[in-house]
Amino acid sequence: MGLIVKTEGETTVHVPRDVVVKGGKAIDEYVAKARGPKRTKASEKNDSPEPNTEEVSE
Amino acid sequence: MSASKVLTEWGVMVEAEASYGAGATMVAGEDGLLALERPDVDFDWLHDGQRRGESGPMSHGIKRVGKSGLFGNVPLISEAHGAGEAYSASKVPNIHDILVACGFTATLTDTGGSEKYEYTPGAGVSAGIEVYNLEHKYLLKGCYGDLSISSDAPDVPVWEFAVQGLLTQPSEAAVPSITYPTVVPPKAVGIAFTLGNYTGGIVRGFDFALNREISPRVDQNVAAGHAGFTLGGCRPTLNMTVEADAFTGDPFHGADAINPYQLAEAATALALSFQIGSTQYNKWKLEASAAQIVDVEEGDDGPSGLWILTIELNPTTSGGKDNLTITFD
Repeated sequence: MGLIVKTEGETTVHVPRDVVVKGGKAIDEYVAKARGPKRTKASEKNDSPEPNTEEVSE
Repeated sequence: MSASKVLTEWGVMVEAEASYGAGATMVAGEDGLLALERPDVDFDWLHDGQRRGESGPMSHGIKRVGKSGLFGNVPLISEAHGAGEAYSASKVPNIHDILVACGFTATLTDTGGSEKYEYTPGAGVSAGIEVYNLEHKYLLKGCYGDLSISSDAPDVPVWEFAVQGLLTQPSEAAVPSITYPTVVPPKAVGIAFTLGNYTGGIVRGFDFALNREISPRVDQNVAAGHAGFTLGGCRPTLNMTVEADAFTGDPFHGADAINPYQLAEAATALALSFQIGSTQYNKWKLEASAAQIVDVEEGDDGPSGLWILTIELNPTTSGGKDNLTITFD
């Protein structure tokens, strides 16, 4: 293991040594990729269930 | 007649290896470790060429065979300081790579405003090291080290890394133009030494030793006869020199009084900490949760009575590795 990166509110990432030796930019990219894309309001909206538009027959 | 080679200039660069023994590509602008004393590389071999036998036909000696398994021992004497700015993947304490090579796991917390690096005993990452001395270049690979930190005055503590690594024969080379960090290291003043409830001690000095085991690996299957080193366990110990102080009763550690003899006999596990520096991003702290006094040596400084407390920094649980944490924040 090369480096453990912790950020408040984010997943802890264990960066392997072959990435660590490539330098700070490579580490940042590895951490970002490991954590996945940041959630935006738009993506959260997409996650919400579709409104039920079916008419209910009496 | 050629000029004498001189010892007045030297330089050291350290970089973590991508895999054990792979060596490292040094960048003179990033990888310099400021060595305060001359980094003399001591040559050693797993087999020095000596052959068996002391008497009979060998009573007057016998010609040696070639040596095998060349490795180097080099003490790197330096000081520790922070990045001088918020820590990140690329902004690290100046001794980061060599500290990790002493068997520490590095953890970066990059939460804005409270960025820090924490180092705890772990597997470590081997380092490649280039030493320039005596107008030679010494190339070391697969390096691991042991660590000691000492200070006996209100000065900058000395960090000594006793490194062992696979060595190749030196070549002639001038010291490259190494760029060292400009951050001024913090001093051992206002260190807030705490042992249990005891905070009021007059501290004369300290001497920390990681006592990391480094074991060589004989390999008859390669021409060099040496496969490098393995990091073993550690027995971190802190010798703290304090002025002999007033006793206090059970639990034997109060704010301004302590009875180290009773604490040693009871093997009481105490929280211990001290901090060097006070400026954010240029201070470091050593902390332990299960510090146990194992010996009390009585000393003197003129008329002042001293205690040299030998304190083991043990894991909190059997099988644990949480002996200590060194934090740069």
